[in-house]
Amino acid sequence: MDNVFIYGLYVLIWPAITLGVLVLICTATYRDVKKAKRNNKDIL
Amino acid sequence: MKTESLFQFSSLTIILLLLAFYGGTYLLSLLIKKDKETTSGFMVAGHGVGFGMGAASMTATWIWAASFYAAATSGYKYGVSGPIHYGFWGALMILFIYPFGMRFRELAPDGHTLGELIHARHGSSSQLILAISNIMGSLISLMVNFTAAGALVSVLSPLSFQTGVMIAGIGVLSYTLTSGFRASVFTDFAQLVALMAIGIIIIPAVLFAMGGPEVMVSGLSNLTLEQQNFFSSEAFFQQGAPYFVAVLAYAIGNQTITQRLFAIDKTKIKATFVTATVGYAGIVIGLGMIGLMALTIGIEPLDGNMNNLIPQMVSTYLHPVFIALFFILVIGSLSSTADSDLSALSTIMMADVYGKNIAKGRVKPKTMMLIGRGTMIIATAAGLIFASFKLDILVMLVFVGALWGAIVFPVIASVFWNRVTNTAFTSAVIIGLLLFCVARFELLPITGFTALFFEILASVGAAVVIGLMVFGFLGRKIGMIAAAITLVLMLVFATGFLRQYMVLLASLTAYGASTIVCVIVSLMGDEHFDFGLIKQRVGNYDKKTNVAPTSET
Repeated sequence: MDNVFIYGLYVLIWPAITLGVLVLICTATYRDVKKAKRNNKDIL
Repeated sequence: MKTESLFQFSSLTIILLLLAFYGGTYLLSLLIKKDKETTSGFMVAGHGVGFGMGAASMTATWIWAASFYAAATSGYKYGVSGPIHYGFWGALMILFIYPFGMRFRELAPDGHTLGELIHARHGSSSQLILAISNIMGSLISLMVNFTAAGALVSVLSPLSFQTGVMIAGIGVLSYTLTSGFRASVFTDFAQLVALMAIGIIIIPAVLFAMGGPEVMVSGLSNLTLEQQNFFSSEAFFQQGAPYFVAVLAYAIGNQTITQRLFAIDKTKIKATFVTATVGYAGIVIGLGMIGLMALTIGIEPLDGNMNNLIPQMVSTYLHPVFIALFFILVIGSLSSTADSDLSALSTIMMADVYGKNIAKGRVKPKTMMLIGRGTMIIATAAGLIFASFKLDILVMLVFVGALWGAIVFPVIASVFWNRVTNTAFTSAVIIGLLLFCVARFELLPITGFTALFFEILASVGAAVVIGLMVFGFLGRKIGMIAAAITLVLMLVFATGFLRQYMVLLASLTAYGASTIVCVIVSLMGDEHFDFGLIKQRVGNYDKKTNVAPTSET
């Protein structure tokens, strides 16, 4: 692997990780909202 | 390469951006407004915050305005490993706290603050040490975040520093005042989604706008050998290790974190904190990479101010729309931390000061709510005044950090070891703090035998840090083995060496001295505390009165 690929990966891996976490948090919150509505409760 | 100035928005544009941000956040808070707020809802959202919102809130609270600036500065100063030595250690501490948080919840399922738990365990003096350190810590944090808002507004527009401070203070108070912690968590979610989305766009945008990884690699020759080294010892000893030790103390001592440990659905604590760890690392290390990019292409910080690095890079390479996005990113991060500080301060005044020391079991929920909201207003006013005067808070910040460092072992020992007494807790914190001050401010010449004495204390401190971390995940026996190995290694390698790094030496001294005193004084007493009492003594203020502790000294 050349340096360009390694350094590119080193910088871009962090926004990629952030994107993964963002998707996870939004999906989980959507499920929580649906569950709260189904049980006639508030989300908070 | 030098950028002469940053892009300037008109006053109207900045005011509209701020109005959109704070107006939108306020409208969001109206969605969860209740006609009759309970004290439990106001302080810990009824102990039932779900995984998604909990992880978002934990991440948003841990990220403050300084996180981006400091990570970028670390990348610029220490090179390739710099962003890791800021973001990785900060993230690790979120992970470190959760095993202890689960223990807090097990002992005090109806708790709101760590101070309540310590009050039930030891009595008022230990609890007030925690409360006072938190009041100071949260006021400093409020002031720092309002200051960051003022600085950003004045750098990017013709508006004054004070205007930025005032808008941020009033904006944060407006959406937090009615629903307290519930509003803080709910708006944290929206703020985190915005700041993550912006971070995801800005980091690759800057990289490719400056020419891509090829340009970065060709600029590596601008770096010193130490800056090029991923395993740089200079980066570890100057940035990583002192930050690691400081932020560990912050994780244990700070009410904004404890409040979330008491608020999140107890079956979701682990998942929430693991997710927040990864999320924090992603966004903070990622933005820190912009500092590294600036270093490789030879950018010099405008006016020598490292805080200008990210806005300068965005301003140099991207369209003004991205600068507006960066502006929202910083305002979002500082607001999410500021609203958590307001919630933390109000909860400490409600539970620790009014609930435990004034009402003493005869709590009136209405009065308690009034105290909570009053605290938010007074704290905001204090934060605005301190920020407007641009006070030098370095000494205060160092002092609070040391206080939290001295608290770590006594707090954790108090919730696992039934021999710890109130006297042991209090004396450990006071002596740990005093010895820290001697080392940090070099009140004695740190040479010869004195330096060796502090290095031995610091070696114990390092053993405590590693031992506690291992203990949290793998249990007491392996934790003790890890501490013993660390102690031997430190005594062999750190004596005669650590005196070169006074900040690190002093911080570890606070841990080591407080641990030694806490253990010795506890063993001198004959307390055998029944942990089951804590559950009886820490209660829900909306339902019943609490049983007062009997172990006051």
